Formats: sequence, structure tokens, C-alpha cells
Amino acid sequence: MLELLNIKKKFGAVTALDRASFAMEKGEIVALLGANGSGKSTLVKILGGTVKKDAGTIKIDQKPVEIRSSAESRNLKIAVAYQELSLIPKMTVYENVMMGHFIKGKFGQVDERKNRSFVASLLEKYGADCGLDEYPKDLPSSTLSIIEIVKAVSWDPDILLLDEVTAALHHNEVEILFSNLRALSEKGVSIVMVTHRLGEIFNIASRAVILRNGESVADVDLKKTDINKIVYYMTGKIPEIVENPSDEKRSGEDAVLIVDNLTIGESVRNVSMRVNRGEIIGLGGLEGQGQSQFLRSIYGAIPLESGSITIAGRKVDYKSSADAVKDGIGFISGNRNRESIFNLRTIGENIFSAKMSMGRDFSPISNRMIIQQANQIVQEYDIKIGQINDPITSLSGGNQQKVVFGRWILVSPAILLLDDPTKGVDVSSRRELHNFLRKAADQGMTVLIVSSDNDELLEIANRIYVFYEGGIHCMLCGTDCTEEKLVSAMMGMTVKDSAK
Amino acid sequence: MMEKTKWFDRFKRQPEYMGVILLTAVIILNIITQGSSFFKTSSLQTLLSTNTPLIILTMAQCIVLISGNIDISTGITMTLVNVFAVMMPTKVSWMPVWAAYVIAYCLAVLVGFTNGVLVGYFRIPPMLATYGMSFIVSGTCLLISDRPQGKVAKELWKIYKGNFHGVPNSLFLVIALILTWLVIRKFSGVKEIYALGGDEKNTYLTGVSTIRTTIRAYTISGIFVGIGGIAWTLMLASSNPLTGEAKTLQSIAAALLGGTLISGGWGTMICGALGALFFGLVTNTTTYMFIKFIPKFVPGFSVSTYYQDFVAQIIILLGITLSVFVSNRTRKLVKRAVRIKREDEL
Repeated sequence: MLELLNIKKKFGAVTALDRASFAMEKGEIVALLGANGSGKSTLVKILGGTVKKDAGTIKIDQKPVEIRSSAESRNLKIAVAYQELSLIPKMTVYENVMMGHFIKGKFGQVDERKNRSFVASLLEKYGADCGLDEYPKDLPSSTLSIIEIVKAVSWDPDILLLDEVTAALHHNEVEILFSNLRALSEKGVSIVMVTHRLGEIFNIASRAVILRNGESVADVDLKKTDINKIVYYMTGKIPEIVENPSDEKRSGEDAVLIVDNLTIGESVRNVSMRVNRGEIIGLGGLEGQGQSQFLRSIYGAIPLESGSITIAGRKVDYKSSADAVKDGIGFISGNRNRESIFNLRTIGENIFSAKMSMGRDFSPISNRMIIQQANQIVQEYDIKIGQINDPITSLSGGNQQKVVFGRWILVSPAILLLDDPTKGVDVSSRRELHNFLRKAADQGMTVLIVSSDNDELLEIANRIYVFYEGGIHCMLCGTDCTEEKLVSAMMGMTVKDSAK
Repeated sequence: MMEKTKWFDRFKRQPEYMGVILLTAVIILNIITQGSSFFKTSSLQTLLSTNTPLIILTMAQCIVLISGNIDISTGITMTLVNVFAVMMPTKVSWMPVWAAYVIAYCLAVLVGFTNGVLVGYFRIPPMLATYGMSFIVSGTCLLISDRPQGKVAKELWKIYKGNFHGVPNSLFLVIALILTWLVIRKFSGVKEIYALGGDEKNTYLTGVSTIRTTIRAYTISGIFVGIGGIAWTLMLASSNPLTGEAKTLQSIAAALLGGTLISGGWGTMICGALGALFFGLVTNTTTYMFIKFIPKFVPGFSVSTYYQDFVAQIIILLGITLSVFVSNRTRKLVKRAVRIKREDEL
């Protein structure tokens, strides 16, 4: 009944979807799988009406349709439960669920009683442990996920899209959800499940469509496929289980950063690691498994709930990023526009900005000083720019990232944190950035790099910690650093899984 | 007992909580200092009839604040209604008085609607759009009349300033508007306004048109501003193009006093009414304190009226700080410890 043909979507220079096709019948449950950057979220967003496709056709019941807004998507009886939730924090649970389609009374007013009993019955059916008048802020994230699902289901859709909804759910809640989904599919609702928990899909879905680099590469019958095959389609590698994880407690005298049982809400759980001076540490895993939050908490941008961070032998508790910068920590984000560059300012000022934050509040800074120091960095690292006073937006993405890198070199931090720094950066700039990092590490800088690109991790990291659902699944070093092992760890596979 | 604490806990989580507390405090203060004379019909009547325009204006401001926007053209729009209704019949010979009132009222609604279109459809920041609008409206006012003049028929303002069995008539107007609010808040259109102020992106994701909802919020505001303008006209009993604009910021302050959040999605029109009443009462009380109460104990005490304003504004600032602080807190109420997983119970 739903058919997507050759969907294409580009975000700037980055291709998110290219010839993605997908079809499903009435009452079918299909899993939509893919590794980092495969475009599965983009596909869901296109169907939900929040992202417009560049090309391709969407057909529902053989009729081509256009989805231009989320309201149009609802009219086509498509409902989406979003991974990042679409709940409104200042409204009660029942208003959140019914928003946009309240049951109306005689005069067009909201019929409180009917709405409430409808929502209450749904919440009970899906095992949400909350009152109708509670606010989302007071509820744990697993309950919120269930409310998000209930919200989507309350629209009585023909096509239900669930984007990573099981990530926050407890085991028994998943069971309740799955039995409800089965009941829905028997009633003729078509369900698309996006998930990274590969174990689950065998329980619920009959078929899996796998995306890789924006292309649909396989459409497999789950009864005839095993997990290794699916991982192979997702990544192009047959996973190999890490049987003897390397010992974590290596005692180096040179430990620059020791993290002990760090926990941040439900996104990072009991993460411990020990990093030596001059090491390049890779933090791998699927997107959104807590790596970014972990990195930001070291940088003081997210407060930690429990656990401790020791830097150069001293326990630290940063109240803000400014404290971290003063202590010699640098941070480069892959989200250049939002988190690292100053769009309207010049290249020189962008390079100088970190150094500026080190000085006193009212220390004089001459233009000449900025230009001189910035020029030095530009020459040393051979960054291709026009004039030092051009705005930074005149540069390509790769060169912008090099400028940001230069910003930190100027203050030579002891620890440099990078969050997917080469996202959307061309191959040659990426190689140059890698060289810069190696050079800096040789000179004693410690580098922690989160990357969604496995090749990048394998290429530059001495050791790789693989995150899965907020914890460290395993640590790879030495001969364990192979793509096959990395892939299996990313999917959270254990010895038990491979035996399946 | 259990039942009682539960009720109080629920009340504490309502947006009106702080408004009620502040208002009760200032009323008690008044009763202590003025005694029973506070409840005299004449003093209540003056108090309410002078403050009703501000109360209505604040209610109008509240609905816009709830939608996550702001409207700084409300005060001048109220003035437009005033000037238009009073002066047009004297300038345009064929226009009867009742028509002038109707057109003036429609103009206020139109201003609100236009603000909504500018903010919702053209995505102009609300502060800028309504600021620009206030100049257009203010220009129109001055075109019609550039100084205080004109008269309102005595029969008309007598009704407004009169009373019914000791209850001021203007109070009936406020009660009628509050009842209107209690009815319209039951409609999904108003609930969507709350959603919009709570989280614009998620409101869109839910399939609600954010453009239509923004326009709706500003139009409702315009409808109330129009009524406020008529009340203002009856209170002044003449036209004055100059004094109304100051009411805008007062209404925003009063809305915050009542517990409405400037960040949107939180508050009710009742909050606005409570806050505005507090605002009016504080000014009233300080004047009374300085003129009558303190001189009773300190013979010969007399200070410039500027000090009265000074003290009144400090109290209002403290009130706003307290109210915003409490509103933010009630929403954040201690995050409940993550519940015991049901697996453990089984």
C-alpha cells in the first residue's frame, strides 16, 4: 500500500538519500535498518512531512502523493513517533496525546471526559505508568517514549512509523509494545520500525529493508536471514565478535584523563576510561549512543550526575566550559554552524577566539596581534584562505574545520575533544586534519575523537572505545582494531548473539 | 486532612498560584491599614473602574504571551479605539456614535489580526512587528486627534462607573470576560495556542498549523483589546491620544505578576486579571500609606509623590521576581526519582 521510489535528498553538499526505495503491504511490520548516516531518519522525516524530498515518488494505494507539511502527512493517515519526542513539556499528558485531534463535544468544545477516558485506556493498554495530568518534565524517559507512541497511535493511522522508540524502553515495556503492535498489524495498520537493536527485529518484523549511504541495498525476509547477514548489508563487513576484550585497567603513569563511573541521566551510564598523554582515543558506535554527551560532560557543557573526572591527577568539577578551557581542554564540534564557527566574523578572529577567552575580561587586544597570530597558524598548517580578514563563511567546510583546529592549536590545550569533526568534509581535507591530529599527539596533546565514520576511527585512533546504549560495550586496541570487530561491537553484539 | 493537602498541592501547580498569593497579601495589607473603609462601595468602585482597562489589556497580553509571542502595540491600540470612538462622530457628520464604537472595535481586532499575520506568516520577530505596528496605530491616532479633547455622553460613562446593589458595574464586565475565558479555554484552538508557546517545533510535528495558531492568538488578543479600549473610553469620558501607550508595559508586567511566563505556554487570562488587580492595588495602597497612614503616626510626614511611585515600582519589581521565580519552579518541580522498574515488583 505504501511505496517509495528512488527518493533523493541532499542537505547542502551531503547526500542523505540517493535512490532509496521501499515498499510495504497493508498490515505488514517492516524493520528499516542502517548504520550511521544511512539516511533512515531522513526517510522517516520525509514521510512525516518535516523534510521535503528532492526527487522520487511516494505512492499510497497506487496513487502518487505529495507530503509538504506534517499536517498533510497526518491527513494521509501517517503517524510518526519520533526518537527525539514531539511532546510539549508545559502541557499535561492527556493534552499532549490529543493535541491536534481532540474529540469535540456538541458545541465544538473539547469534551474532557471522552478525551480523558480515551487517553487513559490507551495509556493503560501500552503500560504507561503515569497520570493524565502529569507533565512530561516529571516523567522518566521510558514513560515518555510510551506516551510518544500512544500519541502516534491515537491518530488511528494506516501507516505507523516508529523511529528508535524502543531505545529508552525497559525489557518488559518492549514486550507490551510488541504485542500491541502485532494486534495493530492484524487490524491492518502497516508499521515501520527503525531501530538499532537488531535482536528485537526478529521478534516483531517479518521483513527488513536495509539502507546504506542513502541507498536501499537489501530487502530481506527475516525468517531466512541471520544477524550477521544483516550487519553485512548495513556495513559491508561480516561482524566478528570481540572474544577477549582488552584489559581496561592498564596502569600508565602518564594518565592525563581518568573517568570513573560517569553517569548522565539515561544517556551515559557508568562509563570509565583511562587515557594517557599523547594518545589518540577513538569513541565509536552508532549515532546517539551517548558518545557526544560523554564528550561534552568532560568539556563542562553538560553537568554530570555521578562519577568523577580526573585531569592530570586533579579531580575536576567544571561548572561551565570556560573552566574547562582554562584548564587546557579544547573542543571541536562537527556541527560547525551551530557550535564552532562565528559566521559573520573574520578568519583571523575565528582563530583568535579561544585565545581571547583565556585572557582577562578587559585586556586590550589589538587587531595587529590577532592578524599576526592567526597568520602564523594559517602558514604553519597551510590553510587555504583568501585574506585573513575575509569572513569565515568564504571557506569550504574542510578549511573552516582547519581554522577551528588552528584556533585550539594557538592555545595548545592538553586535551582536545572532537565530536565528529570531519562530517561533511572532503577527503583531502580530512586526511590533512588527521595529519594535524597525529602531529599534535606526537607533541604530547591527548586527543579524544568521536566519529560516526569507522574508517576514520580505525585510521587514526590508538584505541577505540565503542559505545552502545550509553555504556562502553568494549574497548579495541592493537590487533583487535579491525572493521569487522568494530562493526559487531557497534551493534552491541555479544558472543550469545552470533550463536543465533 | 490528606484530601486537603492534595488539593493544596494541585493548587500550587496552577499558574494562578502566585497571582492569588500576591493579591491576597496586598488585600490583607489594605484591610489592616484601611479597615472596613476599604470595602466601601465608593472606594471599590473607583479602584475597579480605573483599573478595569488595565485588567482587560493584561488578559489580552496573556493570550499572546501564552503563544510564546509578545504584543507591544496593545496600549496604543486601546488608545485608537478611544480616539476613534470619541472623535470620529464629531469629525464625520454622517457617522452615528454607535457606528463609531463598532468600527473602532473592529479596528482593534484588525490590528490584532494583522500582528498575527506579520508574526505567523511573515515570521517577523514579534517584538519588531508589534513595535512597528504601534507606530502605525499611534500615527493614526494623532491624525484623528492630536490632543486630549472630546466628550463621552454622560449616560454612557455613568453606566460604567455606576454600581448594582453595591457591586461596581465594571466588576461585572471583568467577570463576564473571565467567564468568556473559561469557555474558550475549553476549545482545541486555545489548547493549540498553549502548545505553540510550549514548543513550536513539536506543535508543527503534531500536525497543528503554527501560522493559523499564531494568528488566532493575536486575534483573540485584539478582541480583548477592543473591549479594553471601550472600557478605557468610558473611564476617561473623553479622548486622549497620549496616556494609553504606557499601559502596554504595565500590562506585560501585570501578566508576569499573575504567573504567566514570558517564555510561553504557561499561564491563563485569570493570571492576567489577578496580576493587573495587584498592580492597581499596590499603586493605590502606597498612595494611601503615604498620604493617610504614615502621617497618622508621624505627624507632619510628607514627601513628594515621586517617592510613592518609587516605592510602588519596587514592590512591583519584587512581585515580578517572586512570581517568575515561583512559576519557573512549579513547572520544574523536583524530577521524581526514576521509578522502580516494574520488573522488580514482579
